[in-house]
Amino acid sequence: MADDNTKQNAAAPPQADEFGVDQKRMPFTDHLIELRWRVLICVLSVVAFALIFFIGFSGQMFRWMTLPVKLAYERTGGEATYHFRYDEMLLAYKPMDMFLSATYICLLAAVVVTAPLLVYQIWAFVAPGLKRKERMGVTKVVGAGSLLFLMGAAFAYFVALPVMLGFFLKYTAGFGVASRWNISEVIDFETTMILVFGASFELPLVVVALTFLGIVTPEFLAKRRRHAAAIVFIFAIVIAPTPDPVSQTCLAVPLILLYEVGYQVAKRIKRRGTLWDRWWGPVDQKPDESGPGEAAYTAPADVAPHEGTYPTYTEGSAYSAAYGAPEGSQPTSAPPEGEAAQPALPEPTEPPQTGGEAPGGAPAPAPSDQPAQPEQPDQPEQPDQPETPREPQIGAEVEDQRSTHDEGAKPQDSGWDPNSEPMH
Amino acid sequence: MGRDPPENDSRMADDNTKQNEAAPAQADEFGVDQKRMPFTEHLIELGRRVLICVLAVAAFAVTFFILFSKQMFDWMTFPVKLAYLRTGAEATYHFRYEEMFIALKPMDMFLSATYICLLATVIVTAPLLVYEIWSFVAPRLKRKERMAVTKIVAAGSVLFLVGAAFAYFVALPIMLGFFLQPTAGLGVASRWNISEVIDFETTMILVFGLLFELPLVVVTLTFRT
Repeated sequence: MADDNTKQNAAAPPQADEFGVDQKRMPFTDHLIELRWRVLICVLSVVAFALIFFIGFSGQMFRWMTLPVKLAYERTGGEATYHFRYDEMLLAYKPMDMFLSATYICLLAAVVVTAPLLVYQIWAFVAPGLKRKERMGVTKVVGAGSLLFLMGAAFAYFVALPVMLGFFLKYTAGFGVASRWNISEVIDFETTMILVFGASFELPLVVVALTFLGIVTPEFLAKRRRHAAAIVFIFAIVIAPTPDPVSQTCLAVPLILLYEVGYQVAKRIKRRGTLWDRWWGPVDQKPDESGPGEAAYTAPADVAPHEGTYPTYTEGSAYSAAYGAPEGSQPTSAPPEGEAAQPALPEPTEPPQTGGEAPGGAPAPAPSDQPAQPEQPDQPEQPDQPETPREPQIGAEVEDQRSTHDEGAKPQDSGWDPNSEPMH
Repeated sequence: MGRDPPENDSRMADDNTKQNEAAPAQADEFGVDQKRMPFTEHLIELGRRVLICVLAVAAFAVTFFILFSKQMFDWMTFPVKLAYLRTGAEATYHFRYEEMFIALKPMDMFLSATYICLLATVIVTAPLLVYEIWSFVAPRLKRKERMAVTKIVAAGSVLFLVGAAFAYFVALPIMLGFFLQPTAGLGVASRWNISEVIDFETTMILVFGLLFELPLVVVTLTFRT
């Protein structure tokens, strides 16, 4: 019941879902009351933790926050280089500097520690309003996003900050100027860097989201790798809170690696079918130039060159295929590169091909070659092949778990059915 | 003033008002045939000159930053050193001159060095910048105007430089010494933030340079055709 908000049945008895919320019967004001309680719990827990931290552990917190400074000081030579002890380095030049910094640190720590509780409260409020499929998606996105953010923060704390601060220390000492850093400036600098790195490390999520929406394809990502690296570097220059080359490089290098991570995940997403594929039919790619079927690939005569890369339904082809092309719809969502990247695919089930046809059968823009099917002289056995033997080549290990367009190449499948199956 | 008739081609560039369509295309001493130049070509020429200026500034700034930033920094803090030494040095202040400057933020020294190098670049490339502006503007001026602009720019530059030199060598050491001494007399140690010092000095130099333009202002106000 909770999964299908659209089919509301007034005669159904009140019934709570796993969150204890009977959303069918709940009036609007009850939602507000629930929201108030959840916000109150969040605020109280943050304040309680902040107080405990401030009273009991502020010294420990402060030592943790200044650990990158200490690392930078010791790694760049310590007292032998700078002629002052580390204890003399941090400076409060206003009466309240240290107090405000300690408060800030303890609030930050409280938010970090109570983050699971906060996320749970938000989730418990939002989840009953979501369909099961949406819940799965949100869980994945939030989980991956949290993990990536933590990775970025850890990278900033352990790697980037010591390197950057060491660079500044040494640079300043080179001019004969002593580094007596203001404690609140140092704390600000560190928290900003940690936030920026954590946010920037969400790059794979962005890449995967764009792929899932069908805005980019893995082939595009691979082809534009160098451009992406250049853009990432410019992005690092812009987003880095400091205009020095060290922090920009510290930010750009892991981002370029994360782009590759996003590319790998995007390939996997693409193989399982993206949102675009479910709605508009599959988007077929020309084989990559390093792909296996490159030499043998011949585009069908009626397909314009750009249609191999970008989805077009203006020709009336993809749209009609997704919304009930009557017969002969071939499941063609297996790009040759995807086959190469996944050895688990049952290759032997592929029917023998003749002539200059690529191993993907007719992986050419699938729906759009429907009208031209009889006019292609170089695939003579294509029309008499049954539909079913082509199914297993899409991906055997996911075939049984989904009802996406792949088996939905059945003519009456109209793209994405929200009530079909949870996405994987 | 007496002018030659328009068929005397050597004066064509000076007389924009009497445009003669039958005159052949002809470049003045800047290589610009202003009679025949359409509007877009002016824009193209402007873009080319701006590009030259930007490239020159960028090249000099990078060179200065990589090679001479320590030297620039020593020059910039020279007035402070003079002030410190003249007002009694260590005997008065009980700390060495090397301990006087501190960086209050991690990036202070880096940003100050960048700022100094950019300033030095603008000063060094100033003749080129002035020449580029002049080459763009001059063909559009009459000869009389050219003479006047040349005089004004030359006198203004000289006056500005005199003012800047006065600030750097005379005024700044006196002012900084004036600030240093009573601070020490009240028992407060001067540990100046390096970026504040640089800001103070550049502001003073700019203000003095502008103030020294006073004769030009007086002359302009009394000027009569």
